[in-house]
Amino acid sequence: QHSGSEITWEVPRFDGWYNSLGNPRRGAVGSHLVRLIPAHYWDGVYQPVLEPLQPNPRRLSRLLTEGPSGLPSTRNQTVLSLFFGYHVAFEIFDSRTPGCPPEFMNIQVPEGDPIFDPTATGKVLLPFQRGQRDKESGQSPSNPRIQVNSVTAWIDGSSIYGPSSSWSDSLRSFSGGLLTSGSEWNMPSEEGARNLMWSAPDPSTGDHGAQGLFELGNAWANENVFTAAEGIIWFRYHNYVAVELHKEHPEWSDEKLFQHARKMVVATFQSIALYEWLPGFLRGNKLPPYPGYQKFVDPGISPEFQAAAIRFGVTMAPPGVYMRNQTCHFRKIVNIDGSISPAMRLCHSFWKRQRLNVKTGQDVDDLLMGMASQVAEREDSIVVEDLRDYMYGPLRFTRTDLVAVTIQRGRDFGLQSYNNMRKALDLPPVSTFEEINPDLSRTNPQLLRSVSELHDGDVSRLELFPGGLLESTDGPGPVFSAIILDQFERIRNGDRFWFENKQNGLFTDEEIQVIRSITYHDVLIAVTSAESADVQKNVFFWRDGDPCPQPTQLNASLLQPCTNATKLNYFDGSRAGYSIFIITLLLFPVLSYLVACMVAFLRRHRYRKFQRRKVKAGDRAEEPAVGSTAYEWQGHKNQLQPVSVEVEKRRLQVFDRSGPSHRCLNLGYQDNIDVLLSNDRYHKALLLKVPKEYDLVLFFDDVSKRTEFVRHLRLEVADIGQEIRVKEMSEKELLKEALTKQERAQIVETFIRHAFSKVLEIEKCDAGDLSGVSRKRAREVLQCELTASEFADALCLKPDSLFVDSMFTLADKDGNGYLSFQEFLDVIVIFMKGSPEEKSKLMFSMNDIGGTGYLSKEEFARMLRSFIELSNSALSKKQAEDGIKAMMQAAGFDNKEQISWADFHFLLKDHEKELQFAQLNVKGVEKQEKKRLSQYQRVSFICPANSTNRTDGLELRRRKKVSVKTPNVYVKPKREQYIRNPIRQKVQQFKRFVENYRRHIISFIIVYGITAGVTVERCYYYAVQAGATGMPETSVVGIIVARGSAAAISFLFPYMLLTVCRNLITLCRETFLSRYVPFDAAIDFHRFMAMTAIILSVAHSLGHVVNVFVFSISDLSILSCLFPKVLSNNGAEIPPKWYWWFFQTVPGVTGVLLLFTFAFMYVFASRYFRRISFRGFWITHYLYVVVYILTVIHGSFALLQEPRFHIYLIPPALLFLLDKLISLSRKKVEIPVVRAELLPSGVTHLEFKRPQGFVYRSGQWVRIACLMLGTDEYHPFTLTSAPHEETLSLHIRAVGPWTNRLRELYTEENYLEFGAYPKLYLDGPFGEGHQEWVDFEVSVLVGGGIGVTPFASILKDLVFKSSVKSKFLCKKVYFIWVTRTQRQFEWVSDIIREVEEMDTEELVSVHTYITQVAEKFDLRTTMLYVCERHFQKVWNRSLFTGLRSVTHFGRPPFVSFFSSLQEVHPEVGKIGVFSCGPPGLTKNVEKACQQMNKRDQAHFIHHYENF
Amino acid sequence: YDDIYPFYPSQRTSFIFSGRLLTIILVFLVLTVSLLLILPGIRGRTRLFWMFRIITSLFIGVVLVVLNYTNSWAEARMTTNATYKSFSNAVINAEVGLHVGLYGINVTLRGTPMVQFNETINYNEMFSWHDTIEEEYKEALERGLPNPILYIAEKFTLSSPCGLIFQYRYSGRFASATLWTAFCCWVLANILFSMPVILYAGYMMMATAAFIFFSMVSFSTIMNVPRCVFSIGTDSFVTEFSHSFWLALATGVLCAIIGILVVAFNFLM
Ligand SMILES: Cc1cc2nc3c(=O)[nH]c(=O)nc-3n(C[C@H](O)[C@H](O)[C@H](O)COP(=O)(O)OP(=O)(O)OC[C@H]3O[C@@H](n4cnc5c(N)ncnc54)[C@H](O)[C@@H]3O)c2cc1C
Ligand SMILES: NC(=O)C1=CN([C@@H]2O[C@H](COP(=O)(O)OP(=O)(O)OC[C@H]3O[C@@H](n4cnc5c(N)ncnc54)[C@H](OP(=O)(O)O)[C@@H]3O)[C@@H](O)[C@H]2O)C=CC1
Ligand code: HEM
Ligand code: HEM
Ligand SMILES: [Ca+2]
Ligand SMILES: [Ca+2]
Ligand code: NA
Ligand code: NA
Repeated sequence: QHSGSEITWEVPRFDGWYNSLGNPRRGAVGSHLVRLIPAHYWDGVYQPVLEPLQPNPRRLSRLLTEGPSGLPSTRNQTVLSLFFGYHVAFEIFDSRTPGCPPEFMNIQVPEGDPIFDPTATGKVLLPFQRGQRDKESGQSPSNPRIQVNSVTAWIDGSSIYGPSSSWSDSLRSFSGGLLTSGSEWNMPSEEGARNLMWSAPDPSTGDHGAQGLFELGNAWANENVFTAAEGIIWFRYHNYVAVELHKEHPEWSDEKLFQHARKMVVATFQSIALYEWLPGFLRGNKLPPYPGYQKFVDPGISPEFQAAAIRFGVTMAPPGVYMRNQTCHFRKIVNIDGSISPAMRLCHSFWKRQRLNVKTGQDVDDLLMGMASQVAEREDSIVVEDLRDYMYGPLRFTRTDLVAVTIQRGRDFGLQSYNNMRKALDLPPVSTFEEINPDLSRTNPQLLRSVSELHDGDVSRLELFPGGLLESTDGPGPVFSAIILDQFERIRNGDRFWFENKQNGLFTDEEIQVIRSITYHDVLIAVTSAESADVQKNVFFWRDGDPCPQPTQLNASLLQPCTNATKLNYFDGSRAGYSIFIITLLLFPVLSYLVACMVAFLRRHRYRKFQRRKVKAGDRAEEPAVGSTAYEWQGHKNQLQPVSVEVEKRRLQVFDRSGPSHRCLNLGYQDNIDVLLSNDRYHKALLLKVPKEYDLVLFFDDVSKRTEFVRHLRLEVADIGQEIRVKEMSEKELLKEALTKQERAQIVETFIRHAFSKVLEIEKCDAGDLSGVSRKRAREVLQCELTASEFADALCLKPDSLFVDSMFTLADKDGNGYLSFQEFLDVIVIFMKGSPEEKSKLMFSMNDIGGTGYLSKEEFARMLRSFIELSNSALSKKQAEDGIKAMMQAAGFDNKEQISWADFHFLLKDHEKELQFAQLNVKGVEKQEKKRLSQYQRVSFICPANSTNRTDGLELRRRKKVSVKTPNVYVKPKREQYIRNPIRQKVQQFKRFVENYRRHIISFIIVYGITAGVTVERCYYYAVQAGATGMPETSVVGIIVARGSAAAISFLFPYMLLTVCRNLITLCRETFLSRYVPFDAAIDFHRFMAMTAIILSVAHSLGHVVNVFVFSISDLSILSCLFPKVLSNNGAEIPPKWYWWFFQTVPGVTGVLLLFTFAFMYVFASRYFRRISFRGFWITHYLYVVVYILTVIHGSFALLQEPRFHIYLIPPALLFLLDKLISLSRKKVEIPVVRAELLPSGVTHLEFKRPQGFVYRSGQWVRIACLMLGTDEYHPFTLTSAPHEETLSLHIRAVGPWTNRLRELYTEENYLEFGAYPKLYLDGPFGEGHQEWVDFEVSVLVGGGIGVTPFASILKDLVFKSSVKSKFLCKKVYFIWVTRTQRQFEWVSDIIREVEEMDTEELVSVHTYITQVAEKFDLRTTMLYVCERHFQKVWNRSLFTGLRSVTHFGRPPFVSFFSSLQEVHPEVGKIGVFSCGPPGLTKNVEKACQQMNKRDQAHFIHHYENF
Repeated sequence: YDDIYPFYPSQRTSFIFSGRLLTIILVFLVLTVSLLLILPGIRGRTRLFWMFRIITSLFIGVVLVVLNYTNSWAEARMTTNATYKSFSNAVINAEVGLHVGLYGINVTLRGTPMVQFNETINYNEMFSWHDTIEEEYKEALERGLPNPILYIAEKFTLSSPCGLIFQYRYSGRFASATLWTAFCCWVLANILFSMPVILYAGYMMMATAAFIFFSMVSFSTIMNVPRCVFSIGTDSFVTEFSHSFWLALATGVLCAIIGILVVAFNFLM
């Protein structure tokens, strides 16, 4: 409703813009200083002229300005005048804020300076930082450095309302046009929360922070109490005017009141400053009358004015300031130490938060009245010690020399010399120092002389400020006066809003007159409690007769002495914390290691419990079958096993609760039975002594059951005329008495060793020492007799096999059901030492059950069956029967009813040699035997050439066709030319290495080249190009290391994702790309890159540890230059503490978290823990998501530079995501299992539907999750089906928790129960290195243990392809299957058999190595050879494995095998070797390949995969 | 030509309608149209379902992108009598608006009526705080923008005691980052919707919603700064959340509902 004409004049802006019509920027905040004469820089551009070209500022300062305090101003200028002037200075310029990047021009204190360097260290520096300048200037000589002004040059109230509209807003209360007051209505607010006010720390107390500082328009108002008081006057005056206006115009809005008051206040200030204060200050030098607004005048502050002329005031500063009340009572001042002084000491009033003496509004009044009464120091060259020696400095060094600093500031600003200034001002230049001030050269010639000396008598070197001080008489001399007048004149004349300018519509003529008539006295009276008569009319002078004369001219000795400089290292007190922090960082991996160990322990523990539970679960399944129930104790370490015991017909049987008998004791052979009963602990234990076996220890549920059992036993035993001898003892003793299964096993082992040591004349000590054993035990050993099962066990055979049965019956001459030492000895003597005849005789009689001297047809068949049974169920029953029949026919036995020993021996005669060496294979004897046997019996088809002379070597079977070829195939390798020169050897080796790993090397170089590139780019940038930021100067090494490594990390982490894009890799390896990129080494690359990145992360962190240290010892002014977006310089000096950087900044917090994450990822990813707890590895590895998120956030704060990590991340992340999506698109399709088979040795065979469109190559693998075992735990398995097959199949060996549980799930019972097998999730196929066999003419496939799985598929595929005659390179494939026992992977035999059947081309040559019967040539095997030969004639396959393949015993000798391959296929240049199995195996193959590759023949290119 | 040169009007104000916004909306419109073109090939009731699906999805997508560039996350406006320009004591009646986006602010000044003192008073000035708003403010001073605009822009400079910029810059930056993340989630969700198991699409929609909400949370931290007075003439204004913010909320809720429905549907089946 207020009309637009409310404010009728143009309201001036707060920032000075658009004041000047000619150039809207003039006089505005941020405008340049305006030089009166050109700059004088050492390099003509920006470098200051320093020592030795100019005298040391401190030395000059002491020389020039030392002198007694207490000399009064010659013209009685008051202290109020001085501080008013100081305030005016703040009104028109502020260039104190240090510039960015920080530049230092510290002042060297002359050695032995009494104040700063009393101990004459010569190392003291007074800190000095160069001021703000225009960034564009100072680059070249025509635009030398020029400083900028951060307030308006106009006298427009910027020291009252602040230099910007938001500053003013923050001071306003927005009601009644008032400025916000604080605790008292007449005091400004002290909130301090806002960042307006310069808040340097208190040099004497170290107080810092914004609390207790007044909020005023002048940022530096709190520098000392006196300046603050000046500010408070104007703050009050504004509110005074506003209140008056409000009274007058109650309808005015806040805005209108405010602007009116502001207009009035500023005009008053202008009037007083220029027309009342300035003439007084300049000894009556008056400005010319106001000529009206001059639009082309630039009010810009001249550096000469700012850095020299106006600083003339320092000489007038008193050592302290009086306070008085209206009644002329001069107040006693309480010092900080509680002492009393007559005045407030200047050096103790800098940056005070707790103003002891100026707390209330009244105190300010008292201070102002004191200042009005006090006469300032004389206008001479002397400066009081408060400013000369005890000026406040930064906390690093809390005192400084204002005069020295002023001199230095002049050099910073590039001021010309005193004489040049004179010339510029049209004053005659001086030629001698005396000419500067003739008066002074009379009164104090010494001063001029010594100043002259300091300048080597060269007056042209004298700088402006010292020159100006020297020329002063009763006030600023001609030079300073001219400069000051010029400055104020320009400010006045160029100001469009000058109160006298009638064109601006601010004031009417009358109003101008009124304003002209307002004096500072009037202002003071208006805003303080003083009445008009309490203060003299001209407050800038104290004349005789004015009220309240000062008690005495203050001098320093009347006051509390100034305190000396103190030093503060910002890092003090942080050392311990910082060290602890760094140590904690280093402890992260240790912590992670401990956790990993705990996980490993828990896992083992839980797995064991799981296995036990499995056992128990089985137990509980069924009720005890018969007899009494009890628990069997089998040793202290074992758990009690629930059993049921039955005594019946001389036999005591112990059943598992689930049914099967697990122990059967024959009670008939003994005279009396010893039973021990416990007589304490509830009388539950019973021990039944079983003389030749381990004892039966039972725990019953209670005594009654035990008694019942004993009674029953007694009854049964009585039937066969035996007696029970019962003894009672404590349970502990009873258990001690018991012979446990384990102890028995030890005894048996010793027994067998002794038996062999007898036969083989092995030294006794090797056989197991008996000396350490108790007499009783030793006797036991000798009395020991073996049970049938122990005997079977010793022969590594099943106890219920026919072979064992016949053998045992034969050996057990006395028929007591046990083998005594002698009986056992008798058998093995024959086997170990006997002639072939003896051996065959033994075999014969073993099977001659009736002892008739003839084997009936049945008996012979039985014998054969027993052998076949020993091998495996490779043959069906019918096949076996047919085979036996055929064999007997072949041997010409078919028409004989009975077979004599002669016939039998004839059959074996062909194999006399084998029989010669045939021995019983007994556990524990292998070691001693090996050496002896191996020289004859190293089994290999690559035997030395002469071995072919012997009967077919030791091959179990050779195909006819092969045998024809054999002689020219297995020739003895010729001695190759051996390179003797070691250097050439190395070169050769290196050449081969490069040849084999070309692609790896190139990829490696590319990846690491890029890494190095991005690293170097950043290092270079921060080392060389980033000078303008000031960063390198601050922490050069730290920043280079940190940024360089960050760049490398930014590349490595994202691009690492590509190495785990399994689907994309599988796709790409089919393309031409695989010729250049070794896709199979992806995971190796992954590891390399990850390790590099983690190491670099640590380096990066260490770099930042250094940086943070440097930052926390750097001044805030430096940091605010480096981090303008985070820290702003408010003079607080004290940098953030180290923990701020680490715990309160985004990069810090995320960095620490990242380190923590890496510690876990790293430890759990180690080979060791991955093996122990894959789950742990996988779960911790998923922290990679966290890593990427944290790293993106880490950089997002843009502390040092704009973030880049996400830019690196996006491309690979998209590809990775795509890869994951491909997986996801099929992973969650439920796939039914069509067949599951539990194969022996813990292998589960799963056959499941092939999903639509599932295309794969042989040797590829898939990842499956079983729905019943958790939908997100995927395990990799190789497909064992061939690509052309309808269904997919896997063979999964139970090695750990998951695979074991899987095996439990896919049982027949479960199938019946649920009607279907649990379903699967399938992910894949993924490619591995075994697909390349097609690229080689000759390939060697080596599969160890479960590592044969890929080959199952490959072989099937291979043969299939060859059978359909598809074109491919492959000519010959050697498949080497290494397994512990042939039983371990019977299913492989099936596959090989299948392959053999299909392989009409003789493409595949299969060799089986059975390692656990290592180099043992036992009777059994011998017999099998013999049988097999006959068997072969009919069935053309091995009786042993049921295969046509060649079986060997022992580990394959890869080197000789490979070298023979070179002989066999001399035309082939490259041979592919693919191995898969335990690491040891693949390592051996790798070594063999390397050894071969050192020779300059066919390459063996090895691909391997570890399971 | 007829010897008469055409009149080349120079654009006075830097901002009319963001070209970027226009492009985004056009791109999405084209997408929608082309997708809708396949609709006739779909039979029966699924056609409706698909139309609904396409439109909803593209709506979410376009919103997620557009929100990054809109300037109406928070707004403040008032009609006031304000000094208008330098070298004149004219006071105009105008609507002053502050429009906060994620990368900067727009300040509008529109005279009521638009033409006063023969001058068209209609300004819309963009200040982005991406690099240094200080520079932009200086430029604005040099261009001599109307007082109210300078007044508001000054509040967002580093040296302003309000300290708004410190909070606004990070709030906006993180809000925008999370919004882009939400956009990625949306893209993923769309891919996942075309997979056999749409459960993950449901989760992804929920993630989209979550990131939209994070973005809102991040943006709303601007309200934590101690209130800074915006006072022009006799009036003052306060910023409040505006269209974009509420649009984000609505989209977030929509995504959340879709996500929850899909997941629930999946579990019920
Ligand atoms: C490419 C590849 C193909 C494989 N093919 C077959 C195969 O055809 N038949 C077969 O029986 N086994 C195969 N394995 C091994 C099989 O994956 C592990 O034996 C099985 O995952 C063990 O799981 P667990 O929890 O029962 O045993 P754990 O006791 O947890 O682990 C035993 C060993 O298997 C490794 N392992 C465990 N979980 C994983 C996993 N998710 N991914 C990779 N390694 C794991 C562990 O490092 C540890 O060394 C293959 C492994 C790989 C890498
Ligand atoms: N290796 C380990 O410590 C353990 C491994 N596993 C897991 O079991 C699986 C592998 O078991 P499995 O398949 O039964 O493998 P095996 O350990 O049974 O080894 C398979 C065959 O390779 C032979 N072999 C081993 N090392 C060499 C070598 N350096 N040179 C020549 N031949 C060698 C073995 O001979 P020989 O009998 O002479 O050793 C054996 O015949 C893997 O999943 C593995 O993670 C589980 C527990 C422990
Ligand atoms: C410390 C060294 C590291 C080692 C030894 C290591 C090893 C591995 C291994 C063996 C795999 C499994 C590959 C497979 O089964 O297909 C893997 C997968 C992966 N690793 Fe690492 N890794 C390491 C560090 C890292 C780091 C630091 C990151 C990321 C920040 C990372 C990200 C991944 C990813 C994304 C996968 C794929 C996971 C998946 O398929 O779901 N790895 N790593
Ligand atoms: C306590 C330890 C750490 C500290 C104090 C720290 C500090 C920093 C700082 C101050 C920056 C500059 C960010 C900016 O300009 O805003 C940075 C960048 C970076 N840091 Fe760290 N960091 C630490 C640990 C780590 C770790 C463990 C990693 C590993 C991933 C890492 C990776 C990075 C990356 C990749 C960048 C560049 C970010 C980008 O350009 O987007 N930092 N770090
Ligand atoms: Ca000019
Ligand atoms: Ca003096
Ligand atoms: Na000013
Ligand atoms: Na016995």
